[in-house]
Amino acid sequence: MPEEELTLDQIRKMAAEIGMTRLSDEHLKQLLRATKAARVRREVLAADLGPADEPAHVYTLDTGGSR
Amino acid sequence: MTDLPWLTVAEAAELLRGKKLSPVEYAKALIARIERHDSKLNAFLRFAPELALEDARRAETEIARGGWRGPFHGVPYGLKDIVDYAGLPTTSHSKILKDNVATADAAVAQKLRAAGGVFMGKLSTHEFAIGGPSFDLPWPPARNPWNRDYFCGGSSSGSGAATAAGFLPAAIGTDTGGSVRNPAAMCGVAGIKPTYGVVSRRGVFPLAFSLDHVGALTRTVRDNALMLDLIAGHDPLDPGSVNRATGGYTAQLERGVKGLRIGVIRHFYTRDMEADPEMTAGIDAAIAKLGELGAEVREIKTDPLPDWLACNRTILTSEAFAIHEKWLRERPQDYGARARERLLGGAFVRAADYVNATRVRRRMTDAFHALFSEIDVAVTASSLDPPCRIDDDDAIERTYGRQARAPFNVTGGPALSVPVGFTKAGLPLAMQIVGAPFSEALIYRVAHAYERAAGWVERHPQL
Repeated sequence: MPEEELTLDQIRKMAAEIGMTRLSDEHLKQLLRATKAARVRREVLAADLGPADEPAHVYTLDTGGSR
Repeated sequence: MTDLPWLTVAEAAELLRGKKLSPVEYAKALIARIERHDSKLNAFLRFAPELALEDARRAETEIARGGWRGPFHGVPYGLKDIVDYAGLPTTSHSKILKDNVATADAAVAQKLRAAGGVFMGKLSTHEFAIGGPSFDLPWPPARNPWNRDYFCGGSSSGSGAATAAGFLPAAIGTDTGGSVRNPAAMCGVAGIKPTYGVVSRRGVFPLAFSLDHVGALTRTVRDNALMLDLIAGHDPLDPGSVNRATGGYTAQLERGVKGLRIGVIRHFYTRDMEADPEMTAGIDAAIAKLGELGAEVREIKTDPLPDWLACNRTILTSEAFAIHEKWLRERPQDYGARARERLLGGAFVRAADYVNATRVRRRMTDAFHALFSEIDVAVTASSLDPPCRIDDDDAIERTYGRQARAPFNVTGGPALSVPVGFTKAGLPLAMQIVGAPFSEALIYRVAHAYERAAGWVERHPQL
C-alpha cells in the first residue's frame, strides 16, 4: 500500500524529534523533497531478499583486525 | 619550449630526468598559464605558486645531483580540496570548514611529496564532494575549459578543469558516486576510480565510508597508470585499505586488445535510461573501434541502472548524514543549498532500508563480478548527457542523476572514464571501461589501445 504523502508540517515534527530545530522553512522544504526522493529509492530497492542474503559488509575477524 | 602546458607526465619525466627541462622553468610556465586563465575557470580554490616554486627548486637541485626519484619528480600536480596538505586549510569548498588547517598530509599527498612532485595548490570541489555546482559558497564553482559557460562535472571539478586546461598534467580527485569520472568525462580527460581499498583514504574528508575512493585525473591513460602506480598501496591506518601488492599498472599498455573479450552494458544507456544521441553515437563508435582493433565485443546484461543508482544513493546519503548530522542540526544555514538538500536525504532513511541496500549491494555485486568469467572488461556510458550550461539549474538537476558511474562504487571494482570525442558544439563525450576487482592494468591496456587509435588527446581547449 502506498505511503501517505508527507506534508511540510509532518516533516517539521519529524525534524524536531531528531533535534533538527534550526531548519528554516526553506530548509524544511528541502528536507521534504529529499525525504520523498529517499522513499522512492526505497521502493526501487524493495527486492525479494531472502533471510540468508547477507549485507555487503559483514563483521569478520581476519588477519589481525576486524572489518 | 612552447608546449609545456601540454606535456604529459611521461614526456615531462623523460625531459626532467635527462636534465633537458628545468623543474623551475616547467613550474613557472604553468604558474603563468594559471595566473592568466584561472580567473575564467576557478579550477583552483587555493593556488600556491610559492610552494610550487619551492618544490620545483628542490627538485632541480636533487635531479642535478643525480637524485631523480621517479616519474613525478619535478612534475606539477594538484589536490582536490577535501585532501589534506599539511599547513593549508582543507575547506571541502564549504563555509563550515573554511578555517580547517590540516596538521598532516593525507596519504596520497605524502606519496606525491615523497616522489618529488611540485604541489600547485588545492582544487575546487562540490561542497563536501556532494553539493554543486553552487554559487552560494565562499568560492565560485569551477567551469568547463572547453566552454566556460558549461558545467565541468563534479565533485572533483577543479581536478578535471585544471588538467584539461593545461594547468597541470595530473590531479587527485575522489569518487563516491562518480566524482572522479564525471569531471573526467565532462572535461575530456582520463579519470580512474580504482578498486576499493587500493588507494588510502587517510586524510581525505569522507563522504560515505563504504563508497569513497581516491583516484587520479590526467590527460592520457599512460599518465593515469603512472599516477596510480604512485598513490596505490596498503595503508594500515585506513581501515578499508587492502593488504595486497599493487603497482605495475603500465605493464600491459602496449599489448593491444586483440583477442580480449569486451562486454558492453548497453542497456544502461539505451534502455534503462536513454542517453543523448550524440553520447550514444560517440560510445558506439568507440566500441566499434575496439572491435576493429581486434577485441571480441558482445553485449552483456546486469541489473537495471536505476537499481544500482538507488542502492548507491541509499547507502551514500545514510553514511553522509551520519557524518554531517551535528552540523546540519547546529548550523544548517552554513551549507550551500545543493549540499544541504542532498545531505538531508539521509535524515529519515530507516535502518532497515540501509541494511537492505547493503544486502542488495552484495547480491548485485556478486552477480556482476560473475560476468568476468566470460569477459575481460566491460564498457558502458559514463555520463548520459554532454555538459549542460552551468547556470541552467533545471538542466543540472535533470542530468545530475543520469549517469552510469555509481554502479561501480557499489561493486567497488575499478572504472576508468576516457574521452570518445566531442559534440557538434565542441563539448567532450566519454565512456567507461570497467573491470573485476584489481584489474586496473587490464583496463589501462584497453583504454590505451583505444586512445592511441582515436587520437582525441591531441585536441586541447582554447582558453
